[in-house]
Amino acid sequence: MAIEEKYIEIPNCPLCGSNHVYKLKVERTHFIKSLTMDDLGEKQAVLITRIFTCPIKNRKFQATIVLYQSPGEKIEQVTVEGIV
Amino acid sequence: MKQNNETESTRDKIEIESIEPLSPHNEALYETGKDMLKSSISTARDFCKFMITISTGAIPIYLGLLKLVLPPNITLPRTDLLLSIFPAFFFLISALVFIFGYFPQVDYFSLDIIDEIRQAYEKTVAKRRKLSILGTSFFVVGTILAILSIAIHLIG
Repeated sequence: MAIEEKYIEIPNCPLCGSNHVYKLKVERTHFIKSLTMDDLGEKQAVLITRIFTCPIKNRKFQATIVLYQSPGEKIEQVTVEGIV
Repeated sequence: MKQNNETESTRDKIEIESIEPLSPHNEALYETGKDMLKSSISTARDFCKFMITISTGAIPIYLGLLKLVLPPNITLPRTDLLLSIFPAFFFLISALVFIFGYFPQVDYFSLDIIDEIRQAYEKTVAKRRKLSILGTSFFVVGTILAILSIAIHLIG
């Protein structure tokens, strides 16, 4: 399992209207898959909805983000680690 | 190589599909999840406490039923004796397992380090879950054997 740290910028917070940057932890697993020519370079988009906390209003909002996974890997878990 | 670089850059990019305030439904779900997370340790502990009473209480109930079914002043042959003893033995083992589940968990962690809290939480939940499943399994086997034992003695 590979764990990556990602940063996401919410440009216009629906609660306070300002910019926030959050740290995400993305866990991916890799598996063996027999690739076809069609699979090469083809990435699958995964929609993930997570709850974020606005640091100014101290209330929660939801954002749906798009992550990409290559053939032979699967996004297992995406966790919001906190505000940066 | 160029294709690989493209793959990496696409993978690194996080696009935002939509941003919106929490819907009432999702807010309710979030609160439910929070409650479940908070109560999962105490729920498992309460279950163990409840099952200790049930398992220990099942022994005299079973023996009372057995006494009711068997004729007075009977000496059971060895095989029948074993069959009669097994359910009570399973109830006793089940109670012991639940006692281990109810036993206070000792763990040291710092409230400043989220990972330590998470590890302690996951360890406690996993331990209680295992013990609850094990204890319930012993209790179910004991109950099945008790029913069989009483039925066999009733027929025979």
